[in-house]
Amino acid sequence: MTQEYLLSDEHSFMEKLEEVVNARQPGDRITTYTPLPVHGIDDVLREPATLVRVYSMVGAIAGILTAFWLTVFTSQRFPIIEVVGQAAGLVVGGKPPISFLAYCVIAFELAVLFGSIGTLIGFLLLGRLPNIIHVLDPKDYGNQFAIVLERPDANDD
Amino acid sequence: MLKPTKWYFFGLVLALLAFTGLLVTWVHMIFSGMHLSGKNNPVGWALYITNFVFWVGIAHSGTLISAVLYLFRARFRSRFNRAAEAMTLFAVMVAGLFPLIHLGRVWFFYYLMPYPNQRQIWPNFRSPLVWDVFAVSTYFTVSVIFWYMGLVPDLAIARRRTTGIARWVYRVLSLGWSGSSTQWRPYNKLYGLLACFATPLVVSVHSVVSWDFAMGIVPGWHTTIFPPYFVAGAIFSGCAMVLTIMIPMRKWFKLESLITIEHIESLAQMLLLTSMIVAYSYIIELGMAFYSGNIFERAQFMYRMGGYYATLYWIMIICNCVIPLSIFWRKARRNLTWMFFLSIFVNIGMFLERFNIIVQSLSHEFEPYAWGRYHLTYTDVFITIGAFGMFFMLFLLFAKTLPVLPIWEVKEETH
Repeated sequence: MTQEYLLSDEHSFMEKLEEVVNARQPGDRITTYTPLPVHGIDDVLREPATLVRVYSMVGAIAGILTAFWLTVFTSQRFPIIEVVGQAAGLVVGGKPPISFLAYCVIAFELAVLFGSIGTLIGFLLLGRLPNIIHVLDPKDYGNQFAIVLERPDANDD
Repeated sequence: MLKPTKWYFFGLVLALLAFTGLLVTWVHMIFSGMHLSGKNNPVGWALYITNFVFWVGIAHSGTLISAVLYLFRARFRSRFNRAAEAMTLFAVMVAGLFPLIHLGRVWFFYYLMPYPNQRQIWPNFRSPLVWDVFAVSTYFTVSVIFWYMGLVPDLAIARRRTTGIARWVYRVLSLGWSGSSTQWRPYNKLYGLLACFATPLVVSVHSVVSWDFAMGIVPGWHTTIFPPYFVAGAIFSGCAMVLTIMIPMRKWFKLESLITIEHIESLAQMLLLTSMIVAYSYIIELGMAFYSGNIFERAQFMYRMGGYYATLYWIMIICNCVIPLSIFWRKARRNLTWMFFLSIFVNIGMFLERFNIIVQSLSHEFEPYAWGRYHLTYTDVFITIGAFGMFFMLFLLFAKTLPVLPIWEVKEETH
């Protein structure tokens, strides 16, 4: 059984939401649809914090590691100079082949790049987007605030 | 997305013609050779790199308005951020074109990429030019993500207001957005995190661009003030370009009730602040040249103020430091016609600033026998005008096809 409550403003929506949540029975699923982000919904629904930031952090760390790997590895790939019998990379402008300070710039840029891409991936996965079903048949409540209560039927058992 | 006025179509045709001029001139130069450009020895970096730095600078206010003002919860931001973000994208696209034009042999552009190009040599990651490749491409990618993600809820609104193929395009682009709490929750986080990533990126990108110069030993370039000076200049020119675009756009698309005089006034005050930072940087730059005891540095600034290109230097000072002072006067900053012309003056001033830094420094280096002048050619002029054409063409197409105001943010603000 599905029940829909359509409300025209944020204030009455929040009041109705609290009412629906208080009357919730085990197994009920409540979803809200709003035309704008409404702060406080998560507290009422007692939803845990989103994990998007974990994806951002993983992305940023991956960016830093990739940058240092790329810069250090590639600066060793053209062994012209030998130091104590070991290839030491191509010296350009008298700078040491592995110049960490210079490579920090690349590390910063890739941390931002991979971090942003990680954030995007996290959002898409957690927000379940793209949603093909809704692309073909959009679920649209316009400017209304909607509360959808899904209650399993008694004969579902 | 409403039917625009005839001025819109007039502007679009004009921009398209200018862009076509760029393409034709560039193809002609590829087949005929780089002698068509005015760059020479010693002025090896000339108008194309001037254009590159100018357009990267223009891009900056987009991220500033969207990301930095978002973090500071500035309320006037929502009236400009979508247009400013689009401006960022198009400006970076135009900027990205110039290193390719400057290369001459454009088909070797991949030498800049992290790829072993010749005899297994990889790019030199110690060079600021390679940092620049990473900085600008990161900036472009992050700006695209930020802009597109901001658009998604609005595309969902657009899909129900359109019909036919347009409706399907918006349906696909909105990714099946329904506005559920499971989508808004990660969305809010995404927006905040992207703003956090983009804010230091704004500072880093133009700092890296400034290092292209400051890492060199050329008098007029080799100075530690360059990164903050370039960042302030970038935000200054970007804010001016937002005004140049938004003032006519407000009229053409009948947005007077949404973009009020107060919103324009807030942006004008930001323009004034950055103008004063830029003016302060000019003074510091002169102070460092005259008190450092470096004769080459001093000679460079004497040349800028009284040499062959001195007129351009003084126009720059008037446009960037004197004319913006009128913003102190309330009547002036609330006068849209004046603000429109002022923004054009600032754009001219900032273009000349880049020209003065790049061309003047190279044309007057250490020894007199190595001095030389840059002369403008028709190719350079057409390519520069074409860059403006490309930028305005892309922006006008965006304004017609996508929501130019962030609808969900304006709703959130008014609720």
